[in-house]
Amino acid sequence: MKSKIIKDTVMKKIFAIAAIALASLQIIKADDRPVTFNQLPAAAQAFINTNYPGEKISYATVDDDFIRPDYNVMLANGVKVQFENSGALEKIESRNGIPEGLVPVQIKDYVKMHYPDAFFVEYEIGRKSYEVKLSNRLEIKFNRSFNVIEIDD
Amino acid sequence: MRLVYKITLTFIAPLVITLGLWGWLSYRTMSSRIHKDTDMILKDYSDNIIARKLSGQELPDRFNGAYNTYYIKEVTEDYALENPSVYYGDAEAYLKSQEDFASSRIRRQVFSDREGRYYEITVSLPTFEQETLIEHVLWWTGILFVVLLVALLVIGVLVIDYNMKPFRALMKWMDDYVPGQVAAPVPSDTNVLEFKKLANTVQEAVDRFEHEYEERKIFIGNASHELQTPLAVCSNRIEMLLERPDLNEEIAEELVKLHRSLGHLIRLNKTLLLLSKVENGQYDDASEQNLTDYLKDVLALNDEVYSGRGVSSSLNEGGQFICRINDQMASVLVGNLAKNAYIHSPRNSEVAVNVWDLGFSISNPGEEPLDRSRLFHRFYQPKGRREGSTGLGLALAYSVCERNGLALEYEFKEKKHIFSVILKK
Repeated sequence: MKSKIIKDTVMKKIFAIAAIALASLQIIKADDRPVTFNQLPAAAQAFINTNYPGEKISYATVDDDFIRPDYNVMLANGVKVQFENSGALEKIESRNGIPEGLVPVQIKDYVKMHYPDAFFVEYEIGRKSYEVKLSNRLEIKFNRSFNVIEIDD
Repeated sequence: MRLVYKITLTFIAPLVITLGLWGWLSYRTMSSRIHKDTDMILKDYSDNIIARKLSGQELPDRFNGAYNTYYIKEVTEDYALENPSVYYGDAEAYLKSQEDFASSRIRRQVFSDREGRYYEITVSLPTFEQETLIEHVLWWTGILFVVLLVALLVIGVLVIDYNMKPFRALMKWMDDYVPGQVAAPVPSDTNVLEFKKLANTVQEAVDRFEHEYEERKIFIGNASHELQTPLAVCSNRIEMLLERPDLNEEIAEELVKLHRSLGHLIRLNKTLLLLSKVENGQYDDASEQNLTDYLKDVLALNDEVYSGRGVSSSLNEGGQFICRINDQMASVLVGNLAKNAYIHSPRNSEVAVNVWDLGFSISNPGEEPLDRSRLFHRFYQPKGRREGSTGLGLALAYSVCERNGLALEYEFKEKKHIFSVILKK
């Protein structure tokens, strides 16, 4: 009798663990779910209206990642912008150059000094760093105090 | 089943479940991750081409030799509205460099340009690398599962084995223990609480038993001696009285009866004491005895004694019945059963004896079956006392059998009482 009770509770625990484990598998799948402009967070909409007024959206999607959901917007002029869940700018890629005023002054000065002929094609705001990509294919990484930590080409 | 193996077997099921579950989940997670990575590569590839197209820049070569391909086609607005704008799937894509189709992962995306025209871009990447990788992961996860399972079981067995050493020492001691003989002290060379407790308890029990055993032996010895002497004296006094010349017939008759009763008492005392000794294990020292020979001897003896009543015997020698038993006890067993058979046989009948390698049986003719439930109890007498019988013969035979791994059975078949002694398995 006693052994049956022990067996039951042990079996229950095993099934519980299995269920949790199998459930967690579902979370790894992330989708590119299409969204309309109006479904974007307010800050994201504001950014687009400010920097690219009147520009049409080619497509916009949300990546339902468990850890960090983010929004991807491709403008009809080929500019790709990535926003965090809050609508804050995460990354902007533009083959024809990034709008003035987005990149911090310190970085702009550095690049103007070292690579005067280059312009920005990519700008990413990381948690502890900034990363830019120049038209000469150089990738430069800055820390929060705008010191260069890495240069890559 | 030995404890070690039982524990191992019990281990197997939960181990297989746990390790299996872990292995399966680990494989699934990894393969899921690999698939997601492929999709992310496709997404970046697709975005890259879209961005180029929308910014008016040159599009990359469709078949750039690195296996990934794309194509863009213009679609109608209706199409764009009806179909999901992002689609992932698996398909056969044509690889120009290989001039063959290959299983690939594809991604379709619908997008629009400044003029409001809609396009669909399909990018693809062959998946044989990923599939091979996943296959390897599965294979090695499987191997790891088996190795872990075996290793854990082996380690488990070894660990248990090592820790059970003191317990095994105790088991060995129990195998060697014979009550009544000087026993080695119970092994308790361990600092495991439970084993020490076990050893101590066993030692106490053994000491107590040995003590009582000794006491009982002494008591039986004393009783035997003490009772026999006065009984013998009484018997002798009566015999002396019977030799007196001034004896009259009546008194002589009474004295004879008295002597007979006394004789019964003496026999009873002797047999009772023998029975007690047997049950107390004082005749447990065994040696190889051939009971067939004992049977032959006892039949020959009884034939002579009971020839006056016309009782004869027949012996069917189907083998040599050899067992481990004290020689005196062998004699008591065979003697008792045989005497019983002869005494209870009617005039001019036969006592049939059957002997084979694993036992023997003695049968004599009879009218009604005996009460099997009380047959082997002390002092059982069917239908009133038979003169001169102690009523202990069968009880004695039964005890001797019990103590020597033999089974004593009774059957009434075809108007015959059949007593069998068979070696227990």
